[in-house]
Amino acid sequence: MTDAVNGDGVRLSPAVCSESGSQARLVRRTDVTVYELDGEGLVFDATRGDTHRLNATAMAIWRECDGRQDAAQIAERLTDSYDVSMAAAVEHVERLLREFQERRLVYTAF
Amino acid sequence: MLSMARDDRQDVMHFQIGEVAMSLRTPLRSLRSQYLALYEDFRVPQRARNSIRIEVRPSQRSLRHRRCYRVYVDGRLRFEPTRFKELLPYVEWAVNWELARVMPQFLQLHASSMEINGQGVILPGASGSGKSTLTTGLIADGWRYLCDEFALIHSGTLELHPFPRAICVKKPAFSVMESLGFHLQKARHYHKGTKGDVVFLNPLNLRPNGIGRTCPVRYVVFPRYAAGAEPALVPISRAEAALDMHHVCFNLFGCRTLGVEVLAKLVRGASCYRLISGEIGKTCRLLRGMVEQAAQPQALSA
Repeated sequence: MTDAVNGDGVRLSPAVCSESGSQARLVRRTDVTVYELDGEGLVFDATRGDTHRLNATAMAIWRECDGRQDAAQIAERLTDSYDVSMAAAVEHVERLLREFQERRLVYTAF
Repeated sequence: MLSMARDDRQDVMHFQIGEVAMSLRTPLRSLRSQYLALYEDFRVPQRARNSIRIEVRPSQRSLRHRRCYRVYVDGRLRFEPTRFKELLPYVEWAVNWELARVMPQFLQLHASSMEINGQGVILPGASGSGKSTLTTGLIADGWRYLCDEFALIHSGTLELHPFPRAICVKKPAFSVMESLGFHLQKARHYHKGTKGDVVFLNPLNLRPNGIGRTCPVRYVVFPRYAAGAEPALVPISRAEAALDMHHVCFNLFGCRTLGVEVLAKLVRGASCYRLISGEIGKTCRLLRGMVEQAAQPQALSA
């Protein structure tokens, strides 16, 4: 399968990354519809017929999935907005990124 | 000979039940009279366009020498009940079955829907969550009835429309109905599949002027009955409410507009709660308090 390239020039693989370590750089899918509701998100994936709810933190992390930042970098940005330690933020971000991957809401960027 | 030709126009009756048009054709006089007892006030002289056509015929005796019946929906055989007391529930179910096909302009949720002071309230929930009992309690409390099984949401205007079908009450709720002053001793009992004995109540007989009008949705409340529990309302986020409504949507992909989009727009104008319902009087008072005060993001309790 040919890798796609997004609008920012980030090369994407549609396959879900088997590694979900903190080094993975993920990029959010742009072919899903996102409805923002009071800071939370309702994400509709028309290709799979799935609907997902992202709470405010998940939405913030989702927005940071630009294919250029790994989990540690996203966590660092989160610590600017939330009163949370870096270690806890990294753990939280990694868990959410794994969940995004399981739900196929992100691609892996190379 | 012409004089021998059977005039079967008397076998067919047409109804406009809120937004839903349907016709029932049957040679069974008892079934016609049972249906009229519930829907006489909604009878219309002519069949409407997009009307749901139900036909019920007695059929040959079955191999077990029992009479059976055939229920056709728009000419297609859908059900073959064997007992007469199952027929009316199957006719009701046949109408439900066809709604999504004939009314794609509406997003259809498995929910009770009510109107109070021009504000629409949706009570979504699976079978057994206590929707019909709560609906009847709210009618007794002065709320106006839209439907006990559907919320019909127009995909363009997002307004809630009436479908004031007969209210189906299951046997475990009979005593609650009695406590509300609705006497069921003389009511005809039917058998409805796994739900067992049920009674259908004509909503027009419950309270004068008790049928609601098309209105905007202002509240979404997910009821869950817990015997003996103190009734409580817990606010939930709009995204949570939209996702949970999506789980009880009958035509998410069959609606003229994308169902998720309708739900996302709908909840923007609504306050959303989970309701633990208990004793019916207390639960109704709690819901009345909800609509009488400005919705505040704090838990309410009875």
